[in-house]
Amino acid sequence: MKQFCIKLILGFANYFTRKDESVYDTFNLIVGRNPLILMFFFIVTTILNLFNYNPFYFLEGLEKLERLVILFLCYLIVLPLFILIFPTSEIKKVTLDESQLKYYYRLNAILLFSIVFLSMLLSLHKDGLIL
Amino acid sequence: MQGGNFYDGFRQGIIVAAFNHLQHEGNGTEDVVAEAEASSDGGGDPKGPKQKVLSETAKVGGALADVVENVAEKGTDGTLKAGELPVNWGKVSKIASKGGNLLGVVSVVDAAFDLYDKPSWGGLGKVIYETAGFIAIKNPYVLGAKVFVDITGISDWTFSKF
Repeated sequence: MKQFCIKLILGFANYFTRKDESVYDTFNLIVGRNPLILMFFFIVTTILNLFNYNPFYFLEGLEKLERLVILFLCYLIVLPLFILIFPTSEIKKVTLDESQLKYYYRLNAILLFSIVFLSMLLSLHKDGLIL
Repeated sequence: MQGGNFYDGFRQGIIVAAFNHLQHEGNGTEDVVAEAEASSDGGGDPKGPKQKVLSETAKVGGALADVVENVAEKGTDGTLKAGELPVNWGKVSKIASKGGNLLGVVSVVDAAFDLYDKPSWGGLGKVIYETAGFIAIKNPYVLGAKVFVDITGISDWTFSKF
């Protein structure tokens, strides 16, 4: 599972890598971890929502800009956790060729969209908007 | 100028008048620069506040002239094309595309919050739009267009119609 996640990180990092850089550059690997953070977020919020717990209670009544700043701070807190779970040293041990990197980028997109769709549809269903 | 655009003539006039005004104000630029140089060589700052300001202006002007000279020089030896700024655009666009992706995470989560807060089909569309932007946009120009659409509220307005 961890190896699969590392391949997903590399696939997404490769999409944002320029010709003059390495996919293993720190900034690229940070970008590569972002889809996993989003997937984790949507899975957690869906579970909390299913148990009738509002995952966004701390954002209620705030202005859009305040919300964005708080969310960015939350992101900065979560990112180091993902760096600890998927350390750069372990990512560097994995090597993929160009076609594999493209495959894992597409897989990233499919997985993220599927999770977002399911999470949102569950939320809308729970609010009685659909089905 | 005869038969030309009124606005072009007006603009030209303003620029010439402004330069004229700056040049003939007080002692004249050459004297001020000479005085500023003399004072810096001889130790101590220029005496009056006006002279101080003018000497600072001369220094800034000198720095700007250096930049222009640098650009012209680079332009002639082929390292910088005509009209290009002495900015490492590759580096800027590199940072912009990756920084945009980091902010994309926040945008997606915020769109999800909007959907939880006020469930609607437009809200669902916004989440999908933000997720697609997060996944696919790496071109800094496209990213800039998206930021413009988001900041001006065009995207929010569009999705609120559903």
